[in-house]
Amino acid sequence: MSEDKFGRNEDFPSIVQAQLLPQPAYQGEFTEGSLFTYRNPSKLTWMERLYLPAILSGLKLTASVFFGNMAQWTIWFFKWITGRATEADKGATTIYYPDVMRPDFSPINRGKHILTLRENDDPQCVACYMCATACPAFCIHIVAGEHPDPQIEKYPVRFDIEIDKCIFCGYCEEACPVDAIRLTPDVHLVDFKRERMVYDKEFLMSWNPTRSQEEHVYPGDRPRTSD
Amino acid sequence: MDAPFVVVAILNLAFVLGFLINMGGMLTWVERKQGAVMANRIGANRAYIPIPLPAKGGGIRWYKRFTMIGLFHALTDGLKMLAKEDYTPPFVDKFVYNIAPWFAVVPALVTFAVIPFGGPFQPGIMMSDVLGVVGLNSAADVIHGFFGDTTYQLQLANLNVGLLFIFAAGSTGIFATALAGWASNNKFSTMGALRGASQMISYEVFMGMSILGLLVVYGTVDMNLIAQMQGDVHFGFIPSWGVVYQPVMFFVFLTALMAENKRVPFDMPEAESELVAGYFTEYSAMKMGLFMMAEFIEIAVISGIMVSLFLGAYHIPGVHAVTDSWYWAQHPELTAANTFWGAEVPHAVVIIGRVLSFLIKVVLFCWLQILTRWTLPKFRYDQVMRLGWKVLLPISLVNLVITAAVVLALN
Repeated sequence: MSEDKFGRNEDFPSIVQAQLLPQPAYQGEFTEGSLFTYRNPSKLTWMERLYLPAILSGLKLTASVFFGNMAQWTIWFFKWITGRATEADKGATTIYYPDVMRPDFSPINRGKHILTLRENDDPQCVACYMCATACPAFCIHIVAGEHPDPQIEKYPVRFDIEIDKCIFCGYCEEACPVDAIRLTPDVHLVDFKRERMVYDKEFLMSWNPTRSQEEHVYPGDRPRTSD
Repeated sequence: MDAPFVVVAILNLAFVLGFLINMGGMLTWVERKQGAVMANRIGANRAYIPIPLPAKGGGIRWYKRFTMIGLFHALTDGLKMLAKEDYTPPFVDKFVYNIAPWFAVVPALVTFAVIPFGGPFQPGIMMSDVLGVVGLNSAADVIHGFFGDTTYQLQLANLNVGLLFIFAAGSTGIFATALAGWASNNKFSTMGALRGASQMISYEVFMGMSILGLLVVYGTVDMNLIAQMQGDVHFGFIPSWGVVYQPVMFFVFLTALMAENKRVPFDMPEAESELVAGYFTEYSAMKMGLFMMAEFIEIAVISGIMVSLFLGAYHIPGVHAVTDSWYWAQHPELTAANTFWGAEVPHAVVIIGRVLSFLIKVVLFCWLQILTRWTLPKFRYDQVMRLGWKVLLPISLVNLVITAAVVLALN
């Protein structure tokens, strides 16, 4: 690469010409003719047209990555047999998601809903419909009933969330006056059956993120009790 | 044909077939795993063999972590190919369609027949060496009595036209591409077959041209003799390997062989991004598997050819067996013996060392080919042709003229 006295690359005359054009007053301003045009040299040199030297330099680069990673794997192996290996020792940047949660996965991520409970395991919800009103996706469906305790007045007979419609905006959480609905960080809401994507009251109340997905009894798998 | 000869031939056959077919399976794993390591990934590691273990509260717990760093993926691949539906489309030419995969696999397998993987050896002396170490002296005597002191070849077919046989068998592989594509009666397949035929025939031309220089140097096409002639050492430290005589042709011939194998960067006939799967678009199950297997076996075969022509075949520099007739004829002042840098060693050590050296060289070459496959993007069709006809062919011709002139001057 040949440079002129200003340190500019003379192999790319179009860049030099572009630098002689009026420069924008501040970064981001668009002025006529201020765009850079990059052009490759029109012809490959004789050496480049042979391909083989260029291929060899490419192989050198990939082989160096290969051997670097293999060296790191070897170190990892010797640490592994002594039981001191960590994820950072591996010669790869892979994270076994979702077996292993990414370290930058936010704990306040908005995911699956839960219904909070009172001390006697009844739902905290007072069936005020504020979450269903606030919901922009219209995915919350509540049927209210009269609660025996006159202080509480109402309770949800049914509380269904169509989780496949939900956009996880968190408005229901904001709207709730009694902190009855919350969004957990769990986002693994996949299933093969559409019926299982409608979460009912029992399911929302019994959700425990520490249990695996197989251990939960999904609403589509059992006869409805809250009708 | 006497009994010991037949026994040696059967053992050779078992070794070559076992080596090639296992390499075909292993290389699918190597391809995945090496590509992963080159890209900072982990690669295939999920296929496992479940092992039943006693659970804590009684009953059986299935241990699912026995993955052998992904080696079982090759096994599951083969199982999948065999278990899948073998669908023959109604519009194909049945006979040609069914016979085409064999044109791919058979040449790949038979090419290795003429490659010497251990040189001349005396099985009687070698086995009695090995058994003597373990203390089975009576068995050693029996085997020594059976084989005698006769010299046999660690090579499947000791043809005196070995190199020509390699070219003949290699060019038969073109039939697989052309017939498969034509019989499939599909535009993509036909396109792939046309590309494959033109690419392989073009590269066949200067594959022959590039090896002519080496033939001028060695003066023979007998693979066994070519291998033996690489066992010498010049000036005490330069091994007389083909790559020393013909360093440029080493790269040219390797390029030609890789183009013959039609893998990335020369995968014009397949070209997933353009032709679906090229000439084997209409194939399914194990018929498609045979094409894939042929490609992977051919990686090992290419390595074998390159090693035996350019990298001293089975030779370790400075190690000589008593059976190296060419070497001892070149050095009449020396008495024939099994030597390791001057020290005398048992015959078995030299032969086993040579087979290991051949295998290590072959494996390193397979590594190089897979490295190339994961490094380079696909060539464009005109680039493949330009590289062949405008770069590699002139280089081969110039090299041939220079080599001939030098050999003439030295003689």
